[in-house]
Amino acid sequence: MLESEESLIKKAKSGDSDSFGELYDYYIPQIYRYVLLKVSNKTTAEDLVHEIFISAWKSIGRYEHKGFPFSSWLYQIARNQVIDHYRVKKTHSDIETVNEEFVKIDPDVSERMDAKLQWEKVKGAMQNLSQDQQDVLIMRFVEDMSHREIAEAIKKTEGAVRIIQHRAINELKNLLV
Amino acid sequence: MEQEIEKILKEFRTVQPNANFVERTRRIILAEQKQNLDLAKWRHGVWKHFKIGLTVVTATFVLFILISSIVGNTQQKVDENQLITETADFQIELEEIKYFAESAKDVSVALQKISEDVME
Repeated sequence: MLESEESLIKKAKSGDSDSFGELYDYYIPQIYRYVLLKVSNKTTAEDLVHEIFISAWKSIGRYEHKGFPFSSWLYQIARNQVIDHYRVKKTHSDIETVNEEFVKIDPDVSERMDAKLQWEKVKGAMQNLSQDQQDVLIMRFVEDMSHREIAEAIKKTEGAVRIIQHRAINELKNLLV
Repeated sequence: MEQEIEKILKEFRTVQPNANFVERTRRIILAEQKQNLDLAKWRHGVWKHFKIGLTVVTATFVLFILISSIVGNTQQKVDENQLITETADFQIELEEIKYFAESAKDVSVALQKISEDVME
């Protein structure tokens, strides 16, 4: 969590764009990763991330701190944005774009001959999971969020999040066997 | 297998958005949004004042209803008291009528007795 986050939010709520800029700088990588994993297309992910932060900046006046990191609120906006995107465009994923980026970034992984293949399999299998299952896996394992934070972001109970995670892992295992 | 899946997902943490994209978007959002934010703040202010106004009107209405019902109950109590007083007065008048009726009967008996005595 960003240090002095509350103070930055307070200033951003009163219209201080520099404070919102700091929040933007801190949170954009994780929101980008989340969206990229959901839409599997770099250009689409960038467009959606742009919309997400515009929406956040527009509605930050209505944000109320409830003891959760700011990211939980951003994920709520991101989730809705991705849902709208699929509702309107009905796009199909293109795993190639993700694979290239994924393998390019991590040299240790790219060194492994089967890394790309493994990633393709996992990403492809993830497409068969429900939206909630995908969200929980990304937030939990990619972003290392706590169950409580995920629960706030996807508007479910902590218990429900644990169950979704358990089922998602099991389904992925079955799909990958 | 489970650990392998987790490991693959965790490796995705290293993915970062393109620096040019981050900078360009940052500039666009923060510049363009200033005027929108002012409008949003104005709208928020109007909505806030409307909510306060609505709350005051509702509270006044509820207070009016409460006071009306209290006054109504008091009025009803006064009427009941008046009714009791009127009943008591009516009772007294009835007693007086009864007294006069009995007195007239006694007088009539006494007069009849006197007339019989005179006849004898």
